Amino acid sequence: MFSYYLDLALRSLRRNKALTALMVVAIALGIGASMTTLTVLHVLSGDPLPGKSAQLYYAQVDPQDIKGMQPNKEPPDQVTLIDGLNLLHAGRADHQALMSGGSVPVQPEQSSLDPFYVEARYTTADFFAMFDAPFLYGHGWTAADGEAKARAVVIARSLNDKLFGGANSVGRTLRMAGTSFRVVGVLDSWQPNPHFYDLNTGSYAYGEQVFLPLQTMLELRLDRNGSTDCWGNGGGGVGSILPSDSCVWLQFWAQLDSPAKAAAYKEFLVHYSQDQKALGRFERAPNVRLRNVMQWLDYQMVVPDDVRLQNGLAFGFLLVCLVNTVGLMLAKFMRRAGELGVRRALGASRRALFAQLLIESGVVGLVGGFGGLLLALFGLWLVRQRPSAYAALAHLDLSMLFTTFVLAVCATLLAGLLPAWRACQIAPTLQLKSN
Amino acid sequence: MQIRHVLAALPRHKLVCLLVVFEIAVAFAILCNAVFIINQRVQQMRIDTGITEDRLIFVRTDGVGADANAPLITRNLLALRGLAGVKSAVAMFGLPLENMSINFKPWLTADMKIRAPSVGMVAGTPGYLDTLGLTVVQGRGFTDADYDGVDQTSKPLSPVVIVPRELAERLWPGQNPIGQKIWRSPTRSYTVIGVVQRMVRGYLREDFVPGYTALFAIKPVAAYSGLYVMRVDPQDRERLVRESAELLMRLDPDMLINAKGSYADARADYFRQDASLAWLLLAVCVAMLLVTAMGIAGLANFWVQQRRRQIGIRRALGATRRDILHYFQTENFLIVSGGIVLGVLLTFALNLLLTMHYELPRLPIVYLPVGALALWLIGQAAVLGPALRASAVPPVVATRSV
Repeated sequence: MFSYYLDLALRSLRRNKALTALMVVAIALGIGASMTTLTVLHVLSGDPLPGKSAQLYYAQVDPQDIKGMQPNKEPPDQVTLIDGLNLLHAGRADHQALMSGGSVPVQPEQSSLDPFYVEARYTTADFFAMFDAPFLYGHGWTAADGEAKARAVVIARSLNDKLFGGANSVGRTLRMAGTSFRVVGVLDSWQPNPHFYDLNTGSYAYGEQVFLPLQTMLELRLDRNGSTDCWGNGGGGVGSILPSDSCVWLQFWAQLDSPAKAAAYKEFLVHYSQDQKALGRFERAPNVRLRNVMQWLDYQMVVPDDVRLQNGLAFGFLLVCLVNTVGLMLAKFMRRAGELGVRRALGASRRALFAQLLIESGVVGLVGGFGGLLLALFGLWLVRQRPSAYAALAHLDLSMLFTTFVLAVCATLLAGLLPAWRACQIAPTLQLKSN
Repeated sequence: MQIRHVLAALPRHKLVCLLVVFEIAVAFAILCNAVFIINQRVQQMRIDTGITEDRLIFVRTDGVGADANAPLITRNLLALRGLAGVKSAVAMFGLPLENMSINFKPWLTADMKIRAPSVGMVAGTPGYLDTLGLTVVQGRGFTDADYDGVDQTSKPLSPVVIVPRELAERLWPGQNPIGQKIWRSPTRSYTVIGVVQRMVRGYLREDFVPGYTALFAIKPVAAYSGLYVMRVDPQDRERLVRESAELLMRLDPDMLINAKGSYADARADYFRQDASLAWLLLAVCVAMLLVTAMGIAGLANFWVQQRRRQIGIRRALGATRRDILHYFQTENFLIVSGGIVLGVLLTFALNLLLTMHYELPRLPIVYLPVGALALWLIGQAAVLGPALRASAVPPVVATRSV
């Protein structure tokens, strides 16, 4: 029966080629545009550390002075150096890391290479274990190394390839900012997207080339990137001047393996704020937040507004295309009232007629979907040519490929539903008589 | 007369008509809002920065490092001024739209009770106002005595400041801004000595007013030694960008050059994202109108085929070709008008949704008649072919059976 209906559908579609082409093109354009933008949205709102992100929490406390306080206002997005170090040394989480970003000049030993800047992450020992950073060679530095301001560095694979030809460089020396560092580890390719642990340095396609102990950076006064927010008399943060204690400029992450531990840690942050208030450092009532990775990304609205806007617009366009197709299909099915009447009169049930018409619209959807897929691939190629940081990430994965076809066929079946139902409504005698 | 005929016939295709009305309504709503967004971006991209953009080039370096190296800045500036074609050269911070900015909210009273909105910091070495092409419209410019260093927190020590007219009018409405004071901390205040017409900050944000900046006078200091800006003739820009970068590299082979170019390039870079969004919206709008037009044409074509007999009868009863043509044109006009009426409601709903999520202003009413006119024209253009074909149906069709 299916193959017979399919044959009927193809015949009918062939009979009016222009109209069929119009429907297919409309569906393809709508699907192509919406799948392009949906894929970009899907890539950008993905989980940077699947399986681990629920255990990683971003801590916020409110060390600001009493001026400008408003009830229910969020605490600052980052922590001050003194609070970060206090939380770090308290060690209440399963793992914790304090960090900030910057850039350092690398002075290669090979005279063939000019000095160049690399992005750096200044952090503490637990960073690598917490974020599942994969090591190709060696390992991170220890907490004791960090406290001792060790001149130790972990470098990214790409930098290792550039400077050491991809060989195991553990133990080798790397000169940066006029200081010799010992390479202790080489990371395998690693670039979580979004760059969740510090969104100030760019949310996407941002990867550090070197990782240094934070304490070493504080001693050497290396350059910082990212955002600094100050209040009261706070200032600094330009060149070699570190931001003062009334500035937030670091990120504090904690790994808490169970919800109970997370609740306990939040409690700890409240106690910490109370203690600091008793000491006279904090002026405000405890105002703390503890968000896991996905909650943090959501709160920071990391997906660019433009991308959401494009996606909304593309689905609006798809709606126009679908309504267009419904209209054309309806007109087409109604015009075939005579033919359908004959089939009804010869004994075909309404259900059979309905199935036949749905198959016809399904074929249009399938072909349109395929066209849409090609258009989406082209659209994503176009997106990749754009200058934004996330452009390079725009690739169609398997789940999105599947979604495209499901969307196309569902959309067209849905579009065929109303016309098919309408066409099956009229009594056969009427349809026969009408002509 | 014609309209009554058309109206009488419309209910025979109730469902199809409603669908087309809905399609046009959605297309209308998207079109109006998308064009509005495009227009917003274009307005943003056209922002007047207040400086003479076509005469400026820049080289951004990693700076001179420690404070002890500050004399190197003076040396570099002297060398840059020695290049043929360089009219002036300064080190500065806060070039408009350079994609970074230091912002602060100054206090307006010594007791720190009244706070101004966010202001972008601009600072430069002697002569930087002239280099940028900023003219003082009230009060005086900086004199050599005004230029001084920076403190531990990188705030300028010089106690004078120049503000754009826009900021002066916001902070001291109806008063003379000259002699007014702003505080950046309880111990650091600045007195307004002059007003410039306009100066835009380094980074635009929805919650910042672009033209709220404060211009400070600094000596060459390590903290602000990264950006060299030169005034040149437009035709020399390309050559001097190359030569000045080479010169700086020669003076200090360890120096890193992060970026260089004409100011026009930097500005285009800043707006690249907005430009690409505008183009994308435009492409979608065009595709949408095309699909809508093809849909209308396809449907009209269908109706013409379906009504050949009726057309023939009307022709046989005396209707002219023109009558038939007008019939289809009127029908299209009525359907599109219906779509526009519904579309106006949808447009406002969509705009409300956008204003809630994207800090977009309200849609100006003027977009509605323009959008309506566009859809009427597109509808008429789409129906013209089928309508002409309908008018060509000979009366003799009436006498034939199918």
